[in-house]
Amino acid sequence: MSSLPETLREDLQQLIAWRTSRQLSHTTLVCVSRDQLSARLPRIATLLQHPDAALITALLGEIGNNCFDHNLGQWRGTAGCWFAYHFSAPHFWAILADQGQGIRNSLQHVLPKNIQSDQVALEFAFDKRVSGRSPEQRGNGLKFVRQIINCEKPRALLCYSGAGMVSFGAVQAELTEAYAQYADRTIAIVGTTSVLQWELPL
Amino acid sequence: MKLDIGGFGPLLISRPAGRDAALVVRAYQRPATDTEPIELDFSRVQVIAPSWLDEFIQTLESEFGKRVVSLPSNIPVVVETLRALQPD
Repeated sequence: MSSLPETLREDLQQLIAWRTSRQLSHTTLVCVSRDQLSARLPRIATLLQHPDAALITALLGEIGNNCFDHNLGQWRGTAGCWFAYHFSAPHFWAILADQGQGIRNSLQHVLPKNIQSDQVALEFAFDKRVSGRSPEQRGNGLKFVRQIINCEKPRALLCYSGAGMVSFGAVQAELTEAYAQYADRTIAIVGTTSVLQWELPL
Repeated sequence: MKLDIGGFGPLLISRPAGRDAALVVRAYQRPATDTEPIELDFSRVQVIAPSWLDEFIQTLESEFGKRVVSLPSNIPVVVETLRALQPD
């Protein structure tokens, strides 16, 4: 059975506290602005010293910026993007979460007939080039995330929003099982939570 | 006219930053003629994501139309970003 590293498990407990308290319970892990997220992302390349660092940084940047793209003025709790990551060679993990409106609410006003549940909304968001920011022509960020994860390499991504959950990647079953030991689905009742696992080739 | 995309910074991620970079090009790096192509050179890019590049290209195309051309690259993060911007 796979498991998450101890440091990541501690961060998950803080994430749960952050969600339930609706306060900044751990300010160093919460980026309250896009600029704070952009300032933390380059540290991943320094930490990993690996060619995959650029892809990982871009992927996390896309997900993290979605927190701000779709939730400015729409926060359901504390504003900002909760961001934690850990590296224990050859594995890298990251968690991004927000207390925003969630993917279903974000899409509902642009595709009301297609969006009938949190689960359908999540699947739609990753499958189609669609964005809640109509009339702007957007919606390729999650396509980028899916295409990077969906390969034969040992990578996985879980995404929870409301009652919905989707997973991708060759090791998605392993990550889902490991994550479920420490956090249940209620962790994303408000907003969205994404969990990444990436094995770096030696 | 060739645009050095890596010159906009080491981390090209967000839509607001992509739009801002394109507005700088429109102000200070304009093509010499109305027909000159604007070639995007990714050879010095470190990290780039579709949101940044999509906003950058859309903002340039709103003034220069289809003269904006992406030059080929073998940098993995650039390859994946350009692939994500292709129509389904």
